[in-house]
Amino acid sequence: MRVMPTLEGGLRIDVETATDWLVLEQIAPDALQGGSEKLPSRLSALMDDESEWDEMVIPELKEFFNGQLRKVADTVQAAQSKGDPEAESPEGEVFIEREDGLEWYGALNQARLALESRYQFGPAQEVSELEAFPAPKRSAFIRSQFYCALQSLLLEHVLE
Amino acid sequence: MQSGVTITETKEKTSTELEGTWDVVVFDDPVNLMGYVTKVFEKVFGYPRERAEHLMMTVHLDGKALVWTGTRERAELYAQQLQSYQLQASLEKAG
Repeated sequence: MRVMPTLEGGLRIDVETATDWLVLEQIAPDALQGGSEKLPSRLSALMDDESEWDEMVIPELKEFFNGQLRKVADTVQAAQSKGDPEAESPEGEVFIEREDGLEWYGALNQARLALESRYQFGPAQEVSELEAFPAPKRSAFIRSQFYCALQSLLLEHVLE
Repeated sequence: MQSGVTITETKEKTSTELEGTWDVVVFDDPVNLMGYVTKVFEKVFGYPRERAEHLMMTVHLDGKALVWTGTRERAELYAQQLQSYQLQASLEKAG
């Protein structure tokens, strides 16, 4: 997989293998399996009762965060469907438009928060420990690192 | 009638408690990128880069930072915006 900035201020992801597609498809499920529906409550856990956050804000945040995941899932699915179904090569392109940058960043953040919460990699995880991880945790760590790299590119090239 | 009086008193008390100035506090988390947090502070509060970076480093090093102080209504609006950017934020009565 290669990721590069576009002239329009977005990013282009060149998908080269079936595994690349799997990783991109996994963003929304990673977030959802980690309980992303609980994220608004976690973010506002320290708000006092007077704010009526549960009734007024959390439902809006839930819808907003779900929208981020839908955007990413739909974009990946649409990019996949553009490919020739008869072709043996899995190659394709996923475009992150400039105006969608924040939604992508948010979806990737949800996925990373969920993976971190589930596997507790820690903030200063060293790659040398990777071999000692059980397979699911190792796989999750690699995805988390990829999501973080993509976020860095979004931050550098797309987000204003 | 008794319950009506109680409700009025409670509302008055609540309203009084919400007066004054409030701090918006942002807490550290294990995944947010430092550059992103800086960018959010610039965007939400209109802070210059230097101030936004200083607040971001305070969050990173101290685990939390007081990022704004003012009326309750405005503080709630800022907290909501910060949470929409997936930063953990809360309100504290200004000391």
